[in-house]
Amino acid sequence: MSVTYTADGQYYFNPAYANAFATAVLKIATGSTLTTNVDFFMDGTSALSNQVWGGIKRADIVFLGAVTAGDSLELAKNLLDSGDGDNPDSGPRAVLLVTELYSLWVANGIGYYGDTAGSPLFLESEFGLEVYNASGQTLITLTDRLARFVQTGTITTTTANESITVTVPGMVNNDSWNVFILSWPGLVGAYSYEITKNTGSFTLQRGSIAYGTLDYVYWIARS
Amino acid sequence: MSYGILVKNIDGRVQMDENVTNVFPDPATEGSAIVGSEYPPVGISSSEMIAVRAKSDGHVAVGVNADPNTTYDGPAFMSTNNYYITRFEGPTSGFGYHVLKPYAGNVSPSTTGIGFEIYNSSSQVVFSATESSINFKIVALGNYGTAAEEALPSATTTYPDLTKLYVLINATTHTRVYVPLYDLDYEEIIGYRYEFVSGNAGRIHICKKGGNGSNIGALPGGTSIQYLILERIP
Repeated sequence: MSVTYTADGQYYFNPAYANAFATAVLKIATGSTLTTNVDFFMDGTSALSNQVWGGIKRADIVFLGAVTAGDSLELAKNLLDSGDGDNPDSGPRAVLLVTELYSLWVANGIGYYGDTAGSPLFLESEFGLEVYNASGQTLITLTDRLARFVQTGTITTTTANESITVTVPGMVNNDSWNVFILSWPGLVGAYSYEITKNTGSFTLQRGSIAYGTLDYVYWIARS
Repeated sequence: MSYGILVKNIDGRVQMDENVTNVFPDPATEGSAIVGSEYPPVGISSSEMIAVRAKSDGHVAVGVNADPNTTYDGPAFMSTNNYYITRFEGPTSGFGYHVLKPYAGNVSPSTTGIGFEIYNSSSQVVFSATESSINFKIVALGNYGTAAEEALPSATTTYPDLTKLYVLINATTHTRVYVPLYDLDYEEIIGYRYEFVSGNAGRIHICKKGGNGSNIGALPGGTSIQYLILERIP
């Protein structure tokens, strides 16, 4: 997430991580005092959220629409100025140019919103599921992308260039499905292979070197 | 969905359900190769997988098949820049690896009586927070492009602790031929490089390199490398 300001520039945003997600969440920390209207716009036309925060000390702004990299999110002026309740459709605005999405961090609350420059005003996830193990290590949070092991097996080939198709229910050719082949020691190039992900299956084609029977262990993980 | 549990992340991707199959390192302690190479496939069973990390800055070459000194059966993982690998430079500290095994539905229930557990339709425990049934989680995955790069490809993400991260990669070719008698020296190698930037923090680069003795600029192309970077949860 990078930010291009057209005015004010009192707030900026940083990604927590470089992961890509389709939903952006902006949260204001406990203790922040916002007494203004807040509007978010996508491409200057579609209102995504419009909330009035009269004396509310904590609020969440959620982009109700899916946001993808390349979108421009327009932040109404009155989030940036003194919070006097200006018409959000007037005046200069800050424009957020979305290059990556994870979550939005608001910081540097100069002026009315009060905080020292550069100090984050928030944020941790305050909704969703978090699971910790007995050692206090975080196992799962709202933003984790976890691998779910799907299937394993051994593919046996007997001839060079042999092509074997393995059925994997539900599989599609995208980055959510991952096929991994265990590398084995063997004759030069004999264990070379080519993997093709299909709908409902994947295909392993053995290399061109004759080396008798060769086994390939495969793993499939979905995320 | 008429019963069970379904948890999705903020992106809408499924994190867990009652069909969870866990992946455990077995043995729990990390294996270690200080010098040269490792033959982890020898002796392991079908369905098991090897995840390898470099312990210091350098490459891990995967699927190195040729050993002209023996029976042409070379190691599957190489960590040092030696006879087998002339294009990649391995880490001086060697590498660590885990043998990974999947387990479905046979996780031990919590012995403390507390925590978060999920049972499948056969009343088997498929997830137990207190038993640490999740030992790895994905940090990053994707397909590295068709361009061939050897040294420091374009990865820019800096992870806070590379010692917790392991890599699985997959691609179409990983061949090494070296027969000096006939002046034949050709290789197409895939692997990855750990770049330690500050302390244990650093980046991971997916790499491939090919060529021969007189034309090291000849690179394998046209195939992307699928990768999965896993973080070990203590």
